[in-house]
Amino acid sequence: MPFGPIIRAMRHNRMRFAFIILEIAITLAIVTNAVNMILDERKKMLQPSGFDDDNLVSIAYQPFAPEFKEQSYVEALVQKDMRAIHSIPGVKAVATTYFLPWQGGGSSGVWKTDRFNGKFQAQLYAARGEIFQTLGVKVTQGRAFVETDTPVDSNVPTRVTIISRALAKKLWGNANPIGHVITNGEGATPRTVIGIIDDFYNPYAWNIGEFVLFTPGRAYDTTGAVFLVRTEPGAMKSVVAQLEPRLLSVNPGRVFRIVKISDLKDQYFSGGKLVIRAMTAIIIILVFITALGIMGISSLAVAERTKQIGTRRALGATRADILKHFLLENWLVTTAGLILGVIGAYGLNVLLVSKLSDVKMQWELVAGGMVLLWINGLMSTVPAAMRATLVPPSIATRSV
Amino acid sequence: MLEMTHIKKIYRTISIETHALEDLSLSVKAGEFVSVTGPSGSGKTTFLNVAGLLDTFDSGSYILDGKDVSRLSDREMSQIRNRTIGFVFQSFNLIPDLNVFDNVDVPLRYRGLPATERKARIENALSMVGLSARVRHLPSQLSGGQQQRVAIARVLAGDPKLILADEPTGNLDSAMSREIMDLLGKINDNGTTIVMVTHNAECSERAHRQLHVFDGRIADVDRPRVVLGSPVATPGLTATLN
Repeated sequence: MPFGPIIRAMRHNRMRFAFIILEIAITLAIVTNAVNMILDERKKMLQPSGFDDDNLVSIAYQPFAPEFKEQSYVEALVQKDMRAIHSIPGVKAVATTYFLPWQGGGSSGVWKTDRFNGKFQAQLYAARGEIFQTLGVKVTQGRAFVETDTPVDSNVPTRVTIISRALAKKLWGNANPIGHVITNGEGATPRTVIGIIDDFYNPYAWNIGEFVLFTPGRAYDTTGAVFLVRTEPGAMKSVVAQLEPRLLSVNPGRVFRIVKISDLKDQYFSGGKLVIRAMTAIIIILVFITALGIMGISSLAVAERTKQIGTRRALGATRADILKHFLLENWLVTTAGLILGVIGAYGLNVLLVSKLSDVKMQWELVAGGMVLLWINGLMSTVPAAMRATLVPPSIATRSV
Repeated sequence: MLEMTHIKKIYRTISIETHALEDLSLSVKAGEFVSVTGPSGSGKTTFLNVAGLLDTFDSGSYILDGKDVSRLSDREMSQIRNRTIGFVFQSFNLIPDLNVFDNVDVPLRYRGLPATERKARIENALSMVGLSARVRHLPSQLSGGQQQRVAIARVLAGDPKLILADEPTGNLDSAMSREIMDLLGKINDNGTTIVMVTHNAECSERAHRQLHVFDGRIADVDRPRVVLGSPVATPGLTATLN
């Protein structure tokens, strides 16, 4: 392969080749990071919550009738409401809880345990009723809440908790977590772990999406309540249509807000979907522009060197030799750009990790990007290189 | 070495048909130094293109170095141009981005010779034309005469049996022209056949035989009444030869 003469000849057109090398490098750096961000967003979207998302709906109310000022009335009404919801055909389970999957937040606290060295942060949700049946999560170790776990007096703190497997593993490794105690500060009531749920994921800051404590408690007061309802598959539409009328028939002095968890999930990922669309557009545009740049440079190279090509043909170059020459020249330019681009890709990733994202670059992505741009470069050069092979050797004897 | 019989070459466009070579016949023996002269548009360059397999012809036959080259594939013609023929062009046709060494190396690479052999051939050829000290120079850093000597070194490195020279002194002053003609003379003395197209009478006289092309036919100046390949001289040609 005539690398030497081609490289030496390219040195005389430094600026032109430097421009295209830089363009390829920037393209690789941006494309790999854009793909990295797309994959990260997709990974988040495909992360299972562990819940029956498609069959979950929440209904919350805000009262305006005067009787809601009495806590005892609210207490009795919530029980009636839950029975009313249960009576709707297609309803599988219902609970009161402020926890809504995929709302992109919730409540959390800093905790200590009897054996964990230091403090830890985890999500915390109070729930009453069939919370785990409603979410579609199984208690795989220990037991679920029973009605007596919730103190009659709402001012008395609860003494038990059910936590996620991920949190148990973080705190106690493979040891049995049942019976261990968690507390949120000096003098606070300790909560004993009575059960473990295997699957839990709710996106949350500080990377605590898999860490949760459920406590038995009231997710309602004189200002309103939130019910989480699980329907039979395919019954969502009919259940949603009946929820408000049923609860209004119990007490009409309130307004309702119904949100399907699948809508909440879509809303949560709307930003991510936008990122994916924007990044995809950037990738397509950049690769297209780079292809145009390479095509332009290749066409110019052929147009400028018509006599040179004719001379090479006269001196014995076959059409295949001419094709090889231009493809090789492009390969060298593309490779130089890609080498620079690898540095750019990791450099940009370091910048993004420090400012925007926490996803580190994977070498497979860089390798894939290089292959893509190698193919892109090759395909973009082929038309001009093919034109070069059609230059007749008789051009060599033309005086102009 | 070169045997052309009744060669015809016609250039066609949508509206015009130009008979560039009309029933051209010519024989050049191995070791001969033949010059070809003729007015502009007479067909000299077309003759050179056909003789050098740079262009095809429409009819007739062409035997080069004992081989019928009338109907060869593009690849076969490339191989013959590379191994059997050496070209010296009027405007030198050096690759401007390559230095002297790499320019001389161009045809050798297409021949697929190993690097050590190529290096030896290049150094020997550049030594023969007196440019051993300029191997790293670019063509733009050389005079016209030096550039033509590089072009001749490129031919010498390939050790061809036939050299086709197209106005080799056309872009040079008289001193440089003599230098190049001396060089071609020496190469011919070593047994290489040379066919040279030229406008320059002085250069033409350095050849063993002088041919004249007119209206696509060729005539031997030493035997002006015979138009090779044609039984009767055309009036125009006769007038020119007389």
